[in-house]
Amino acid sequence: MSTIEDERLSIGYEVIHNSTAGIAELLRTHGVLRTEAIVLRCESSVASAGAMLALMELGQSTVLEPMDAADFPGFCQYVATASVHLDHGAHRISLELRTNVRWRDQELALNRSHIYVRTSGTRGSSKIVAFDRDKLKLNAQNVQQRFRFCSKDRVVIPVPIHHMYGLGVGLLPAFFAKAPIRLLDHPNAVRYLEMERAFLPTVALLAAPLLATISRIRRDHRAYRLTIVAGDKLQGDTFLRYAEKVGCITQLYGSTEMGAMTAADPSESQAVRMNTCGSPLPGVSCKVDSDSGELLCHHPYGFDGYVGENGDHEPCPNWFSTGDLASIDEKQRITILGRTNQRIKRDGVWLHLSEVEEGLLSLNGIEHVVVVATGETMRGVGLTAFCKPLEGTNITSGALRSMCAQVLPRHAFPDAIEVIDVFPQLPSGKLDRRSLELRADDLLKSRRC
Amino acid sequence: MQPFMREVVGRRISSHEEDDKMSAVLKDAVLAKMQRILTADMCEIVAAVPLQADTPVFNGGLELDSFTFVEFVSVLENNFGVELNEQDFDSVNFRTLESVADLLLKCGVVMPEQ
Repeated sequence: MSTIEDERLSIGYEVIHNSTAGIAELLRTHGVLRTEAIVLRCESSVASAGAMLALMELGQSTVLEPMDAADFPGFCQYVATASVHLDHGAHRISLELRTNVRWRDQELALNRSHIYVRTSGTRGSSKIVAFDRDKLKLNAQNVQQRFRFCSKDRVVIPVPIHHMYGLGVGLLPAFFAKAPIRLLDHPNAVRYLEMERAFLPTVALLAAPLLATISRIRRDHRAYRLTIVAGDKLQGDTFLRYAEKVGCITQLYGSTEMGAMTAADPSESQAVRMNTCGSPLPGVSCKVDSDSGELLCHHPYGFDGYVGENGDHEPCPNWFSTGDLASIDEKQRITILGRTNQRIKRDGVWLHLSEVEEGLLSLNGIEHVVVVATGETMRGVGLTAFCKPLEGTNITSGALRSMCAQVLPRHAFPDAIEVIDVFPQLPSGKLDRRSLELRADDLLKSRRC
Repeated sequence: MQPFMREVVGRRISSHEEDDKMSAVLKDAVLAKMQRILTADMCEIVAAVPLQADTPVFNGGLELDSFTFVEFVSVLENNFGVELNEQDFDSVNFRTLESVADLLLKCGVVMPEQ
């Protein structure tokens, strides 16, 4: 039986369809047109997921915002919160609407049904991305096809469903495949393993940090058909440790604007799945700009454009600049090398931050390195390395500085090195580079003083 | 009786009442050791948090994330000489520091300095 469940509740898929009439009536009584976007406050719950799917079925333009968001876009008159209640013994999803205090009575530039999602703000600012509803469905069906989602799968989604990863790679493909879905809010390794014992998932959609944690504390073998991971690149030893206990992992590459772009087919060899993000999904074209090395993507089911807080529209370019450096092999498999803004000049020589990271990682006792470029130094752009030592290793930044010469050319020596135990993260689980950049600024300033 | 219990108790437990008293003593000892260990080995994480029996491990307490949770488990396993089973990882056992102390006792902790 096809169900969506969270910690408290499980509903059949039919509840979503059966709830659309009530939701449509509510919207009608408030005079909301299908192309007028409402905000849906989302969490990883049955109520939010059910409401999201019901609004999509109705063709209602909807902005997906996290439950704890305080401000909503000015082009939305209403903010909706979903709940599930019993009506004559049957579950029903309903919405409660309240007026958005920031609403400005301005017409939205887009006049078709759209789903609006926010970028994660990895670089500090978040944008609203508009997806044509039908394209979003096709985008998700692309994923369904690549990963062969089917009704026998049991899909766990411990990532936010209002982000494109959780929505376009998890919720929608699993829903279209009629697979049982388990949502997990505020995931951590303990809650995940507890859920796993009860739900017995066969497909998991993970962020790299959670996968790394699970791989470290998992003692028993548990075979999944597939684990999909996206976001940060998975370290090789983590990939192998997880695969040994759980089975097939595949790394997906995507963005809020494009949805899923590339992913290794589960039937590919482990080496391909570990070292690449696979080949583009059906219909998707990727190329690398010969000058900048940046990966460009043309996606038939990508976003329509960005929308400003007041409804103004900036259309999607034909080729979307991903902001990532990549290489493409002869079989069209993509390997992500880093961000374009991580390529800098020092002492007149081009240098990629990943070269510095790899050099420092090769030193004994270092588990993870993130290098950020900020400010100016005598060599050019300032370089700061944040190094996490291996567990049980006692290493100082001074010792690391003294070892740089063993592994890096002079122009690649970081201007500052800080030993760090925990890397800052965004709520999405991605590395918070902005926070590290601010810290790097402080470190460089203090060195100059 | 587990090794730690023998070391700390040093005498035979003869009744339920004594059993309860002894459990409380043992738990206090484990909690005290946990506080020392966490303060020493995870000072960046626990510096701003009062380490009490009812301090939550996750939200509203230590606020451990994916990486620091692994460190937390590893620090406890190494210092108490136990290895947790996968089944031990549930939200009851990792609710508060007291819950973790209970779990360590169930696992048969070793406290040589006692």
